[in-house]
Amino acid sequence: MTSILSPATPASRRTPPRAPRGLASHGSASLGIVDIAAMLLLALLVIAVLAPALLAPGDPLGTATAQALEGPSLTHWLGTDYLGRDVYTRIVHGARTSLSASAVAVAVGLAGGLALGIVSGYLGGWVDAVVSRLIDVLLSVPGLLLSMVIIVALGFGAINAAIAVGISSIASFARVTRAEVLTVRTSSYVEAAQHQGSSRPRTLIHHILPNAVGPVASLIPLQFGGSIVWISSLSFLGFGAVPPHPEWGLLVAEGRQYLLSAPWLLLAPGAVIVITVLAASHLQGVLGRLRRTTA
Amino acid sequence: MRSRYLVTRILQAVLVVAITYLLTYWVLFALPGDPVANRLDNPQNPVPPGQAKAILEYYNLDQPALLQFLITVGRLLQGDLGYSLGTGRAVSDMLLQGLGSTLLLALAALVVAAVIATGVGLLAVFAPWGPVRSLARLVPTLSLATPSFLIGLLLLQIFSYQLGWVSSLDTESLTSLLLPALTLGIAASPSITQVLIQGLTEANGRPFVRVLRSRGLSHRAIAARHVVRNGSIPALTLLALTIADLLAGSVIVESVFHRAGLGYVTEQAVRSQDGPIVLAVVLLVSSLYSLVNLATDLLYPVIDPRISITESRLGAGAPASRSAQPALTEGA
Amino acid sequence: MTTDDLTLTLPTTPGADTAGADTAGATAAGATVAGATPGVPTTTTAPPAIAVDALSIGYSSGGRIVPTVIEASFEVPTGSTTALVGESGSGKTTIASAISGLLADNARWLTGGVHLLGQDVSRLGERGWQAVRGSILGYVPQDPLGSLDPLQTVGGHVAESVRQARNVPEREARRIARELLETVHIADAERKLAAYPHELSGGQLQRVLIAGALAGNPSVLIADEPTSALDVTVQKRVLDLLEELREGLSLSVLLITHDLSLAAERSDRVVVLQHGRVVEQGASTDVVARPAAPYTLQLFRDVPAMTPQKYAATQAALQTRRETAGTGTAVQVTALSKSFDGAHRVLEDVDVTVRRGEIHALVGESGSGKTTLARIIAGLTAFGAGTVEVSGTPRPRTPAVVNPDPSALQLVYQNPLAALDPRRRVVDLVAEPLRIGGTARAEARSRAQALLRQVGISEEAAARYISRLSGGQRQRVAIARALILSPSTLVLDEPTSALDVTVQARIIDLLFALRAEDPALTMVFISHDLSLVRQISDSMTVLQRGRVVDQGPAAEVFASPTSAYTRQLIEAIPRAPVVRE
Repeated sequence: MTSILSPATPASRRTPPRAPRGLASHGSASLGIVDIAAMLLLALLVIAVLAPALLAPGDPLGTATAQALEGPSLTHWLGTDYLGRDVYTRIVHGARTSLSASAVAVAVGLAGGLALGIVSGYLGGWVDAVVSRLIDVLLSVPGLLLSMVIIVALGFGAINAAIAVGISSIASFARVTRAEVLTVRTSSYVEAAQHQGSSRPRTLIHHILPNAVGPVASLIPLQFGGSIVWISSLSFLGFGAVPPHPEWGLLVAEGRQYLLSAPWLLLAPGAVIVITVLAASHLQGVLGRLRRTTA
Repeated sequence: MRSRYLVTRILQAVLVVAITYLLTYWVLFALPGDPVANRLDNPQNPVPPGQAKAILEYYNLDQPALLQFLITVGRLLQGDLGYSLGTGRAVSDMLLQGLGSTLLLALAALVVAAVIATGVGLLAVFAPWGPVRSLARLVPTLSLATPSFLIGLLLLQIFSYQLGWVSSLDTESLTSLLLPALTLGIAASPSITQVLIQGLTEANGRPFVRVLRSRGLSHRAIAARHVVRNGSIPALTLLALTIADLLAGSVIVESVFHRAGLGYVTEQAVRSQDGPIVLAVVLLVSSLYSLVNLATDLLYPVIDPRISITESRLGAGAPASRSAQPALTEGA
Repeated sequence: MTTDDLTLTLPTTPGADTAGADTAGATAAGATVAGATPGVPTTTTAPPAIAVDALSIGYSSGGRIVPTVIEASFEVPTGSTTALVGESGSGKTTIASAISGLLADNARWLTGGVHLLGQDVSRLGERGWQAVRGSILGYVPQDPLGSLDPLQTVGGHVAESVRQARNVPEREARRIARELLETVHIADAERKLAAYPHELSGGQLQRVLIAGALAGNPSVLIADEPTSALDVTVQKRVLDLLEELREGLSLSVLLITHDLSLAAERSDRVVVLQHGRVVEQGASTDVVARPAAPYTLQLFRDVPAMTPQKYAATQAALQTRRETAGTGTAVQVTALSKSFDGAHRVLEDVDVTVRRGEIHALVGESGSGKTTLARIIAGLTAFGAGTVEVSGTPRPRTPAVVNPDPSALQLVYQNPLAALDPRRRVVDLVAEPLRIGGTARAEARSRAQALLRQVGISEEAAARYISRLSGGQRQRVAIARALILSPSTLVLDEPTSALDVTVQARIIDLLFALRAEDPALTMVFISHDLSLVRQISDSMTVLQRGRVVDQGPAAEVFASPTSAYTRQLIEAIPRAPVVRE
């Protein structure tokens, strides 16, 4: 019992004030360097989608067999593929297919999820029971498999893959929306509003939706990143975008034959996918911080 | 009371599988673009006339859609999953052939995912050094952002081609399971890791931790005896449910590593729009998911004494802890 | 000022036996200190159990360090109970954490020191603390349910604490655990050992936690708001237990509390904190008799238990006005019964009459049905049998989802933060009832602004979101919102129970100001705090497990309670001396 105060314990000499934690301890809403880098990258990607020629004036489909499988150089920053096409140009032009497909997927998932979630969370009762079972059903089939089922029905192609991924993500959006709507609907302030005589539609529009939609909206960046990964996986399998049109997953698929001889064919588009998704999920964190400091 | 809950819960699970089957059937067969008709009408790959007649008869294409469905369900209940439109072989044979190797792969991947999630999760919450905790918290984000085919190809590049440790051609031996299981495990780990980090962080901040410290217990003892037990329940549930995701994820991994398992069969079926096989795979995976879901629900009261099965929970579905599952579990 | 009420358990000077034991422990410790730092003379007089010397602690937030405790100095004499009193944000919990080595990660020890039984603990590392905690220092936390691992049996918890402190085998630890549960008077200890926390009541859990704190035979006990989460009658029994243990085990107790009347009743010494500084300290009797600091005096005046007659004159004046004007009935509840799930009866055969212009208190502990009754009166909850009339209009048994007549009765919730939409500005929250009624936006806002000014909310605060206001401001906003339609009846569900006493006093002042303005305004006031009810209410109803056990004019009920339960509740009011203005 008294040994704790023996002078031999070096720990006891430690000064009480502890050093600041560093990395993890910045909780303020100010933007850090990583935040800015992520947003810059996303801005570049938006340009790549809207006007790819600004970033890469070359022809993404222009072949030059004489320059096939060249390594990265000043003329071809990321090398060339087996037909001599410039990999950088193809990645920039591929952004349009990859990112707009992901946007479609998120839009489909969000629209379906919001509709189901709001209806089931707000109406409750048997409607909620039916919708909840439907969500269970959608969740019981893994997303990749579900999107493949839909692709079998719709046929191959980038847009069909996007729709398939969107439908597969309805369940997660619906579940979050339902939970949020349910929480808000049973909250004291909604009860209080109705006690003030606020009609059901007015309460829905003025109180429930504004409070419930925020957390659902903050899922969008993450889901967008997920859709990129997912759509590129379908393209990689050959169910999505059709060659020779560039799409990021397809570029990786084309590169896999040259894993040994020309690894840049695989690494460059692969790295772009990873960095884009990281930037999107980082944006999610930034949005979350902003929401916390303003609400 | 308990047995009534059990029965209701089982019926619920069966209902989910049945609706899943119905919807999948509807999407695959009843929509315009019926794969059977497509397959028979395909001019590039004509079906021999004799086989075509057999298929036509087997699927009762001349009958109304509802009757076709009822006949299919009737056969399903007798264990007949139908015949592949591409090869003409029995679907059950084809699935059984691939199932063994894929289940082995999925189980190995489950172990990998559990090991990664545990290691990273413990580091992220309990590492004494701040930067280590921060780095560990980045790991799930990074692996979430990396498509599984990319992980697989990178592992192949490094361990097969550069280091030559594992042959890229061997698909039979047990060592050949290593890279595919790693790939699938890494791809499945991030959501489990995140849920575990969330759970441990939350448990570590609960007032009882402070009280245990006031009793003289060390951080290590509190973590080992209390925090891990309290914080890992949602992650364990998610880990169990991941088995279905792993079966689906095998499509990509088996394609990358040229393995002939269930994933490969599925991939080929999707490629040739082979409806009966896709339907059977969905039925299999959805049943497995519902079974695991049911099992975890029934096991909850064993793990957590606060959850007792009462009548009031009948309509409520899964326990509250289930909601910890993040949105992005499906991505490859 | 009378100190006669302070008859209960004044500190007995430590008896010869206990003093001897304490001195022995202290000298042993003192010797080690001397060994650790040669040159320091060994102390011969017994050191205090806790000595806090010029302690300053801050929390780092966004790169800055915000000081929370500033140069605090006080002592806990051996064998005494010393109360550390302060409102929220006063730094009392931070000091308790510093003394037990449980400061949060972002806390910074700026200056000063803490000595436990003469040993400097301010420079201990985690390992050193582990040996102090449990064995020298016991800690009793605030929230009993959250403070136990939900997956561990309570016996497991106590046994684990015992093993940690005494290094005994498992079986021996369990035997000691059972003894400890008996020491803290847990009935049927053998069976309770195997119970999980969620199976026990709050009072039992707090006893378990006290047993755990005693596991290592500590000589110092820190009790951090040990009863603030408990019902009043339970609170009294737990405090009695702590007192009994202090005497029986010759403990020195540091009692952290926000409740000055409780401190005055239960402690030998009080230390009053304000904004992190010690503004007053001394023997309880002295501080109560002659508070030196203006803040302490203010605190005394704001504690209902110490100023029961504060509103007596106003009440009498209002009553006279009511009598001359003639009063009607505002709320009439007759033979009301309500059950959940058919089986569990929440309310049984309840009659309540509230006359216009009164404050009628609904009193009871948790589970008494008082909140359900309030919600039924407000038209939010369905009921099974009986009738409820508000201003002569009967309430339907199953209320409409949307209130058809919000101007008849308004409800003020216990937690304004939960009851006000976080995404609307304060002025819009108050204007909302008018907007629903069809008033134009500009007009509604200006009326809301005027009413907010009247309840003490500035225009600047009215433009903010509710989360950006203080607790007292939030409740003012809620009251303004309830009043904007000029209802004849207000139902207030524990409107001040989450607030500091000084803030509570201002809210009650506001309610009386509103009554003075509109003598016909009726209030149904739900509360568990008998001292507050005694101070403010005209009439009252005491509920126990859904039944009315006492009813009538408040003065009569307090003077001659008819039921044992009411007597028990009244006895649980801290017997603090009365302070006069």
